[in-house]
Amino acid sequence: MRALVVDDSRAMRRIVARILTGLGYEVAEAGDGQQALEVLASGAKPDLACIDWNMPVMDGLTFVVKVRENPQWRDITLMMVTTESEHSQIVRALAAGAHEYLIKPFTPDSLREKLDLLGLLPSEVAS
Amino acid sequence: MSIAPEAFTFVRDLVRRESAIVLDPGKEYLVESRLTPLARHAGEGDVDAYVRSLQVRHDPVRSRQVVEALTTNETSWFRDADPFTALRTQVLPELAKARTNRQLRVWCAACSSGQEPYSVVMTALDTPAVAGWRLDVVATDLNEEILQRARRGTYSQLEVNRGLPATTLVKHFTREGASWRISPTVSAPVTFRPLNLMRPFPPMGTFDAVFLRNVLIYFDLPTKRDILRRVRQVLAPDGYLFLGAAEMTMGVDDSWQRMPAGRSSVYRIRGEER
Amino acid sequence: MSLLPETSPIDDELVRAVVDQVWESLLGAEVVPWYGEDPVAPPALQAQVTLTGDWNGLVRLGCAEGAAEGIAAAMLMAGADEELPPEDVHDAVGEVVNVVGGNVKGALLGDTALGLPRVLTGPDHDTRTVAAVPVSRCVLDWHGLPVTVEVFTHENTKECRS
Repeated sequence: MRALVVDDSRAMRRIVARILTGLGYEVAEAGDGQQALEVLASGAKPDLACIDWNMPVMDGLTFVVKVRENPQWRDITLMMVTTESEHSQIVRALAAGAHEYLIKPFTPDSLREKLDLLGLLPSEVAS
Repeated sequence: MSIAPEAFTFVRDLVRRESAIVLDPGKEYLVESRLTPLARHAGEGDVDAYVRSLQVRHDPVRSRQVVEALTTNETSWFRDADPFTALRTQVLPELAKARTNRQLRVWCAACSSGQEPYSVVMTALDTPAVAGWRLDVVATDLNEEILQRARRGTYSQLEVNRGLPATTLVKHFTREGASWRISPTVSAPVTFRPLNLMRPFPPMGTFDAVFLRNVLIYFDLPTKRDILRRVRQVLAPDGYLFLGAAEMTMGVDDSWQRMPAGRSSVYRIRGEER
Repeated sequence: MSLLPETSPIDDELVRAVVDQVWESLLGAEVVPWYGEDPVAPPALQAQVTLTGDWNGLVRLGCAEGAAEGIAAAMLMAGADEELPPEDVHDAVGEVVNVVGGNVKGALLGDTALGLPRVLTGPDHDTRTVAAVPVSRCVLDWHGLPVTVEVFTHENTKECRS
């Protein structure tokens, strides 16, 4: 399984990547939505993208819309991982095409449970 | 990065010795995520370093904390997901065919802070076969304090992150300050009351389904057997029993029949015992 | 409309609840209140994030560099022998204030946007908050060093209650 972690904070990328690696994922990183699009355009085919909302250059919501516009990328599961936590923001992200939404701060268990809901937990760690 | 194999083996042996709970290979992730807070508190860089410190010097306090961290049940929504899938796709549709009065009664026997009974209601609301039915969920726990919390129906950001699909969150919860409040539609069918599973059950009527998940593990064999026997008396003859993923009735009370349900199992009372 | 003055939904209780959650899950630490003397001198490091829209204000975390290093190490689960470069420390405390800010914003009604975190240090950093009214302030103890978490609002904030 492959994941793309999109967050402008290196610290947060490291935290998310560490959890995903521990679950058996191969992880690529991007610091904003534009970089993430470039990673995808270069041919990377992640199963999952974990996407921060507020980032410089291109925010996560715009990235979600762009990914959804491209049929080549329709198999990528998009999960927002963000501190945006209003009811209305979650609705917006889901309407834009995000499949799941994890609010920061989160625990490793909660990320794992979200992946379980999405059927993206590598079977050897499914409990 | 994942936990070192030696560290996992050490922790697995410790937990098995102290609690009789077996951590199968593949649970490295669980060990790492549960022990990380302990490692941080102890000032160790990571779980491997923390486990090494335990290996070098026996520390009964830390050992107990490790066992507790790995055996304590944390409550999350739709916990383990599979039983709720089984409830929606199999159990509720079956019951819908069998009940002409359009009423369902469910007992959550160790409801803790309420996530399980509320998940039962949200699942029923999501099941077309029982749309518009009267639902009555009795939720019990030994601990009165945790029942108070469950009745309030407000959950922290961290709690709503646990196993609750985002679509369900926006459908059934509203933001309230730093917390989220469950909607009256979901809370209205649930009645919370204190109950000790070790004692005779108070009059509660008959249930169509009983959730008795991840609680039998705390009891010895005669107590488990006694609880399962008394559960049979409050469960409708064609009702369903849900146990935790690691629990089973086999060898405890053979009046139950295990039925596969999706990726999990449910239990029904054997024909001759009904 | 009520003639009583509207109170902000943001108060010490809310901020403390948010900080508790962030400390618990992001830093793996319990919040310890600071019982020492109130730190009046401007902190060496300030991480801040702005809220703009129906509610306008600022969430700010201030502490000594040593506390910031400790917070970053806890967040990144850095080993005792791993020395984090200053940019990683700043990035980590910036993310802490970002998460606090987002959750504070989540408690507001209306349309408010969260800015990107900024970390200010050194002699040129601006400790003033122009025309800002303090809304909430708590001082925490990070292994013997004070850490302040403050929320300010600007005058032009529209009232909105949750």
